[in-house]
Parts: sequence; structure tokens; C-alpha cells
Amino acid sequence: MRSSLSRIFWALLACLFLYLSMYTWNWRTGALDNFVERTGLEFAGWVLAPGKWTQARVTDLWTRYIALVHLSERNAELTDRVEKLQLELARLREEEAQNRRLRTLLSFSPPQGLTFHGSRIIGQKLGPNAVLETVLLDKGESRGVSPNTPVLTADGVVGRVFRTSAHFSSVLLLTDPNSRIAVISRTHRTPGILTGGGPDAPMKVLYIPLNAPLSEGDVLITSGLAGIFPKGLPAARITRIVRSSISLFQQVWAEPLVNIKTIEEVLLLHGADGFMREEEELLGDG
Amino acid sequence: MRSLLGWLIFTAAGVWLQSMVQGVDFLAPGLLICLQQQALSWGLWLTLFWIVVQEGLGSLAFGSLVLWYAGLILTYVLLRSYFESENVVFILLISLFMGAWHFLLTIVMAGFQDLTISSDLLLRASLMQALFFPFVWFTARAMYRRYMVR
Repeated sequence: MRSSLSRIFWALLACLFLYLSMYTWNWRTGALDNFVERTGLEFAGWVLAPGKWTQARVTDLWTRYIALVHLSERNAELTDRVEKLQLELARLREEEAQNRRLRTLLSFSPPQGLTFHGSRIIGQKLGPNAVLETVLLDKGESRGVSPNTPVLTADGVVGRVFRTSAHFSSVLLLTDPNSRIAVISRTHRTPGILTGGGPDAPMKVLYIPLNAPLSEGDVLITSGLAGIFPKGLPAARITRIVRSSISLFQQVWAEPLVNIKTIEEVLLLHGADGFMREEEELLGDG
Repeated sequence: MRSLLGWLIFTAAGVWLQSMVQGVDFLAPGLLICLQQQALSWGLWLTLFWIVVQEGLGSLAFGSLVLWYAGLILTYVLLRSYFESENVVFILLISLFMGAWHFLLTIVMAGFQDLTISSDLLLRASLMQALFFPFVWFTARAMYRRYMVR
């Protein structure tokens, strides 16, 4: 009995040692993470995508051919156009403000080369290991998606790509408490860090000094300083500001401009790396 | 061949269910069935496959799913000394353990990575895990007996 207990003890100890060795080796190299994210995402993607595809086709068929054929098509066309124009308007607004400030800097050239790529959401956080607020997209490395690719809709930022496989990728939503986005307020140009509060909870804007100008309702746009999001993408709207006398910073709450719960399609922003390099070069030259 | 097809359908259905109920593992009852039916080689290969799938879908560094399934196997071995493996009390105790293990393991592993997690959401997911486990096990066992055992 005693020798059997001793054998079990040593076997458990050996297992623990093996586990810790594997865990620390993977922590340093990321080899296992790399392997599982490619295979796991691919498998789940191929399992979930056909169902979503069928659902989308059936819905499409119903709305397009059975219920008000022409009106529906026209509506879809116009909605698509409105979304594109909203995005264009947001970009132009930001460019206009930027131009006003930088009129004297004749050497400034606006960043070029940003392209958008549509993608469908096919799943949300899956499995017992999914502790972060994520969604699964039907586009992966084969379509140029890489970790940290910005994800947005016509209304604003959704998050950034967290993990990728050949044909699918998962996105860390801006509402997750572990998400950090460098932002500035559109009106007052006050910088801060936008962080999520979790689902159904307001987001927070951190590190805004007490005397910095800021107003409720102001839209927060990406500042482009963290190297992931290009400057000028609308991210959130300020909902509440508290100036406390016992803190060095204002307490600021915000809400996302995108309704995270209802989005079905998103845009992946490509070429943001080039954009950032150009910005850094400009700053360096300045 | 029938078993392979059956387990593939079970895995696909599990992933589908996981996309509907967030934070819950619908595949773990399959491992319990393998252990109860003494289908150990199936249990081994399926567990390895499920670890890869679940780790890939998750957001933590590789390792927590290894402990997750190891916890299930260890509890099965321990409880097997006191109960029949298909006894209602046995299944309820395993389900309760899985709920508690989900909470504890996620807190610890997220802590290692310095991640902020909502304890309310985690508690809800853990309760759902404990609640769904016996139903999934019961349904899967019925399917297993009907279609996968000759």
C-alpha cells in the first residue's frame, strides 16, 4: 500500500515536472500556441462556416427574391453606399482637421495605400479557454490578415486581430478589459488610453490629466501612437466625466460607436503598417 | 469507421454548441464516455485532438486545456473507487467538479498571463458548465449506445 502510494506520488510529480517544462518552453518559444491556433481555428472555422453560409444564403434568398425583390436590392445597394460614404466622411473630417493644423507644414504628404477588406463574423468566444472578448472571422493569413490588423465597421473601430490561421482569424474586441487603444478626442485633441470594461459595461479612458479639456459627447479617435491603428479612426464616444480631487487623472467613461452585439460583417484594414512607418518617418524628420 | 464518424459528428456538434453557449466545453462529456466504456485509445486520441482545437479557439497560452482534461481524468479515477461510473451521484459530482474546476483553472491561468477577466462572467460560465455537463453526457451516451456500439 505504501509503495503504491509512493509510486503514485512520483508519477504525479513527474507529470507536473513535464507539464511545467512544456508550459515554460511554450511560453518562451510560442511553438505550441502557434500550432494550436492554426489547427484549432481552422477546424472550428470549417465547422462553423458552412452553417453560417447556408444561413446567409437562405436569408438572402428570402429577402431578395420572395420579399419585395427590387426594393430590397435597391435598399441593399443604398445601405452599402451609405456605409461607404460614412467611412469616407469620417476619414475626410479627420483629414480636414489635420490639414487645418498642418497647413504651414508644406512638406506634409497625406498617408496613402490603406485598403479595406470585408469579412464575415462566424462565431464568438468559443470553448472553456476563451476568456477574452473575441469574435471569429472567415478571413485569415491567405487573405493578408496578420496579428494586430485593425478591424472596424463604417461606424468605428471593432478591435484588432488577435490570432490567425490560414483561412480564419480571431479578433480581440475593444470592449475587452485587456484591450488598450491610444486615442485623442476629436474636438479638444486630448490624448488618452481607451480600455474596455467587459460586455455590457462602459469603457474607460485612462491617464487624462485633471486640467485637460474634454467634454461629454466628444468622439474619441485613434491617435496612431501605439503603432497598430492608423490615426483618425473613430473608436468611442465619451459618456461621463468625473473630476475627482483625490486623483491626478479625470475619470472618463465612454461607449463604443459600434454595436458589438449586432455586427455581422467587418472591415479589415490593410496597409496600416505602411501607414505607421510613414507617420514615424515624418515624425522622425520633424 | 462508424466510431470515427460518430466522434467527428460529436466534435462538430460540440463546436457548434460552444458557439451558442459561450465559455462552456461541450466535448468533455465525450471523454467521460470513453473512460466509462473503457475505450481508452479513443479517449487518448480524442483528448489530444480536442486539446488542440480548444486551445486554438481560446485566448490563453497553451496548457490550460491539458490541466482541464487531466482534472477530469483524475476525478474520474478518484470517484470510481467510491461509485459506479454511471451512477447519478457520480455524474452529478463530476459535473460539480467541472464547474468548480473551470472557475479555479481560468482564474489561475489568466493570472499567470496577467489578464483581466470578469469574475461574474466566469462564474456564469462555470455554472453553465456544471449545468450542461450531465445533459450533454446523457444525450451523447444515448447516441453512443445506439449508433456507435455494435
